[in-house]
Amino acid sequence: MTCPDVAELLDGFVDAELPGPMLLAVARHAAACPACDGAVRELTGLHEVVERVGRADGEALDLTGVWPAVAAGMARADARRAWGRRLRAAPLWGVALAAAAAAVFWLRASEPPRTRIAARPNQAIIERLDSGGARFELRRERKNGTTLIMVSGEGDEAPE
Amino acid sequence: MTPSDWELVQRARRGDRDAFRELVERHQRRVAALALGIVRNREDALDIVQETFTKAYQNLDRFKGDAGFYTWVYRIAYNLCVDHQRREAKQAQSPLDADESMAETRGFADAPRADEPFARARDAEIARRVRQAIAELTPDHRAVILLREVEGLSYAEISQVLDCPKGTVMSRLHYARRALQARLQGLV
Repeated sequence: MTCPDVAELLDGFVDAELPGPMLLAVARHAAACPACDGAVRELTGLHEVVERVGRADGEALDLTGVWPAVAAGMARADARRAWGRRLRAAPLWGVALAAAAAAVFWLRASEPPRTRIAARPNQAIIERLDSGGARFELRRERKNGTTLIMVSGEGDEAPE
Repeated sequence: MTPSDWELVQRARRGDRDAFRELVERHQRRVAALALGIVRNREDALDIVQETFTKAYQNLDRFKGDAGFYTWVYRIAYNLCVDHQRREAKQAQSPLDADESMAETRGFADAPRADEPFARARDAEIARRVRQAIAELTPDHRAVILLREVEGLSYAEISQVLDCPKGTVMSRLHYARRALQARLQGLV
């Protein structure tokens, strides 16, 4: 085993992730090679200092609030699950009724809002105009400016 | 006899809240160390710990038991850290902000030493430089270093947590270590 070989296997060696025979070969080489031995020691030293700092930072955290917060989250999750179970256990007619109610509510909500326009003096405002089966005719008298609206029902003949 | 994680999971699935509490108390410190190491902010790390265990409880039925409970929980925590970092990146928080919040985290420097105060000052400087060096790594490299060096996970476990091949873990670990060595030259 050469120094470049060891350099490639260094991480696996320090982490004990190499197969047994390879671990042994790297250890043998490092024992006889000051450069590779130094590289192993450097990596080991890096591990030790990072571990110490990381663990100390973790230890310094106050975790007393974790469980109460998790317990509250669990209670919320349980409540949601309970609702889901209730819904699944509801009889079919109940679900159908709820769906119908939701549909009615949705239809009403989707109707466009009606706006009221204030009529001025000598002015009429038609708020609703259903055209199903009826005919409408508008005629404006030129002499006096009056507008006539003629409505005839289904089957009726519109006035001439 | 101390019940295993798997036994506690089974009990928690049957509605035993104390069993889940034991799981939380058993693993919260390690999850907190990982979250703190990645997000570099104590409040955010604590939020992530809480959210991790709440999510773990909600998805307990999905835990198959083929991997360790802590590996599974780490994975949840890591994903939450990644989400948190994406949000932070959008808000364009400067690295200095994160550093300042971490400067309040003591522990390594506060450990009682016989040869104080020189040793305390030296330890504080080492801790500051190590934190700074870790903070300067890319998020992927930071995660792999913390999972290996602080949490002591094997390559296979790290690949499960990060959801990437073992070869990627090895390569990330190699580059992260070289980067740390370059930044901590003269210290280790």
